Amino acid sequence: MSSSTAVAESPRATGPRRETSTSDKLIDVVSRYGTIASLVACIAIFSLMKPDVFATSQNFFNILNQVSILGIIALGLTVALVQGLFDLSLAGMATLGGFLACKWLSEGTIGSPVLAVVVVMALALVIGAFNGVVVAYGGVSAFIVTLAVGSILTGVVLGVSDSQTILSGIPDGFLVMGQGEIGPVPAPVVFLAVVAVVLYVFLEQTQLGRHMYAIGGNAETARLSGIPVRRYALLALGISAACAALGGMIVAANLGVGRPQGVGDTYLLDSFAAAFIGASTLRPGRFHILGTVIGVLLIGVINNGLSIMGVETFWQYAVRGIILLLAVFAASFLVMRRR
Amino acid sequence: MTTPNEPGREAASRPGPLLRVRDAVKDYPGTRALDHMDFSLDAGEVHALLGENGAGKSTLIKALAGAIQLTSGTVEIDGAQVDVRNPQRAQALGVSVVHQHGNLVPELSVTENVLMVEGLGRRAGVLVDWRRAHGRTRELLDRVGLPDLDPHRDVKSLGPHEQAMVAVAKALASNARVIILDEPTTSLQPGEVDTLFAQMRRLAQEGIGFVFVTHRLNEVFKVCDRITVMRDGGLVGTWQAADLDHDRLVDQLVGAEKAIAHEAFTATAPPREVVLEVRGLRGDVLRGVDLQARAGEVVGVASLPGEGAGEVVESLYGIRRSQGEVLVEGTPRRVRNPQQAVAAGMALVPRDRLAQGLVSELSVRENATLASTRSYRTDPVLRLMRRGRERSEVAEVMAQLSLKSGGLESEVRTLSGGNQQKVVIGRWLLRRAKVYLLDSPTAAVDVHTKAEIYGLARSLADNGAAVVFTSTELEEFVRVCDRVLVLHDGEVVGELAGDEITVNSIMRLSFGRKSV
Repeated sequence: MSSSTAVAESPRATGPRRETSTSDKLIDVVSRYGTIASLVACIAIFSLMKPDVFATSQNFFNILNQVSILGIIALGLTVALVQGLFDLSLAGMATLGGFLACKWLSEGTIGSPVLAVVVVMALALVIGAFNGVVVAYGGVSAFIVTLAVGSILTGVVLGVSDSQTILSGIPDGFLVMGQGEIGPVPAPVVFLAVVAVVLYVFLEQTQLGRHMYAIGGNAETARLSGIPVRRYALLALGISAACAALGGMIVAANLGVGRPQGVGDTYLLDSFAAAFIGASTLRPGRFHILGTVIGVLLIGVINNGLSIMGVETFWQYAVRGIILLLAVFAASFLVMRRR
Repeated sequence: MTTPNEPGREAASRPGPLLRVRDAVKDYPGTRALDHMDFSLDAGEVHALLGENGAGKSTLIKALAGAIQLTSGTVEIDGAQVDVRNPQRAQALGVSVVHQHGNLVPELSVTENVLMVEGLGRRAGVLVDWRRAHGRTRELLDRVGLPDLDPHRDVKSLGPHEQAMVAVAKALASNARVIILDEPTTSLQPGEVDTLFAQMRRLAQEGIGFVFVTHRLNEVFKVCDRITVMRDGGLVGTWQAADLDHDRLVDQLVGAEKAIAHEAFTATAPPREVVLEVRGLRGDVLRGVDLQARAGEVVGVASLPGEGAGEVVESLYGIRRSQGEVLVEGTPRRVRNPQQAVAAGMALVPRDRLAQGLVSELSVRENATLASTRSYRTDPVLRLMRRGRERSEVAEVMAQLSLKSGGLESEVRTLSGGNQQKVVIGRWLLRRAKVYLLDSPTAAVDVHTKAEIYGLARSLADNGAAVVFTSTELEEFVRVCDRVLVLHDGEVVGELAGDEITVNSIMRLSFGRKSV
């Protein structure tokens, strides 16, 4: 066996085992920073083509304002997705939130706008937690539960409103949520920033966030480590619902009317798109707040830029779809390469 | 010892080997997984392919199955060079791999699984001809020694042994002549292993060549004609099984550092105070088990699968329903779920690291503190994590365990099996667990890593913890346990200590024979 042994010992000489090649590093960089690069590229292209309209500070805040509602809803959804829970009830939840706040305020049920916002968000938290109870203790998939609950919520709003939009009696104190400004910054952008910071700290810096990532990664390991896994579904879907309701209220405040239908549906698919684009960014395969923010901005910049350039709406949809595919493809490509 | 790959012997009886791999090289970025490997398989032989983790066995198998392409080297079948460029091609060439879990779809019927590759026959080109399909399946089941198995049954309703044989039948359905069995015995009971081997021998007589990959060396001598050992991606040697024995085979596997594979890790000091006391543990399997574990000792719990050993561990950790008294350091504790068990000071090192022990996408640090996040949070309301303290304590424990990783922030899945196991153990050190439940902690790790894990078990005990150990490999009890409780049918039928602990004595007791 002398000759074969001599050969067998040679691989150790070729170098350390886990050394990564340049091509691996390139793929890694592309998948981590690809989304950010395409965001920068989009901004650069639009700025070059329409420097006088796109690249202005007014348009900058305009974009932020346009994406803020989507952003708030998508950030809440991110918390649910961290645990692997799809929340499809957020469309119905957003509609319900906006409508209820307007109804209660215009009818005088609740006098203070601040209190109304708090009560609606608390109600959303409870409904979301109910989703969580059915998921965690009933063993039903979140996809189905939230689809059903979303449908129920849509029905409830239509029934309560008798399909009538609330047009008057909404106090200015509420409208300021959607129309006010702090210096040059529109109020919805302030809400977006607050939600982003709070949820970032929650997911990245707290014990609860840590446990959520563990459960999303491997629920059995989390359970065997002594984490009470089930109750986290209540928290995740509760946060997702509360953010959706907040988003819906800002829509209502922005438009100045309480619409009983169609408010949330606009945001449902885009919020999933933003979260999935985010999951392919910086930390591939992991949903996270910063990623979702980047995903939201990318969608916002593309919509805004294409509108400014006079591109038809149907093209905007198509381009958004292509970008989502590319982002998810990049992330899964990396995951496949690692196996 | 004979000369490896002696060409004369093979040439004597037939024109050439059924399968031959020459000078196979497979390079991955930064590493060479196969290094000028040679291997040959005759028709009608059972050939063991052995090596430690990372020796290159799986790379070779993947190349033969068409899952990866060799960087250089040739594969010959019946003396003709072939290009195994994809799995379909491998199947067409008659090479079939049966993986540990049998690559079957549990929700489908036996027939649907067996004929998955061949395809189900059609009537008029549209409707499946089920009668013919089941008939064909029965023929194949007959060939693997399961003539009475109903082909309509779902695969998930079969026992592990039947699943293994159905997987072989599936290979036969695609006219396989080379069947590669990758750790097929992991989930089998001793009797079932013998049945599998008998069928392998019979099929070998029909001219099929088996490549048998396993970590259980005893099995090699039961069923194999020849043994090939790999190390560091290359060939160490090929021997007739009759020319080797267990110890000499281990020496070939581990190479230079031979001593480590035989080292024992039993206690050097007498045990101290009682840490874990269990009285009258009952459940669907257990029928009143008493157990005591002291600081400084490793207590083994052994039984045939499903007869109590695994059930004791699961009951103590609250995964399995049970009644009975459990005292940790003299305090009665309720352990109805893992949360309560962890609170009581229990620690589980589970059988399946990736499925139960780790969150593979999270970092070493996050995995290590998973059970002790509470001790790093600022307060019970905001619950912010004190990262600095977390990092320094993890670093300290991992240094103690001499963890080899790309840093505490690297994802835990990039670590080797042994280092992953250290992260799991580190988690419980950080939690300051008092009772360690080790459930087959060395499953599917190589000889070196096994020794390291035994050493860790010993040092846990030396540092004052109670260690309860169970395993499917009886040799392990001999090397690491100071005392072994043997269970049969849910009851303790004997207790062995010191030199009384042998594979034979454990085996005899676990079959219910009270006298040793």
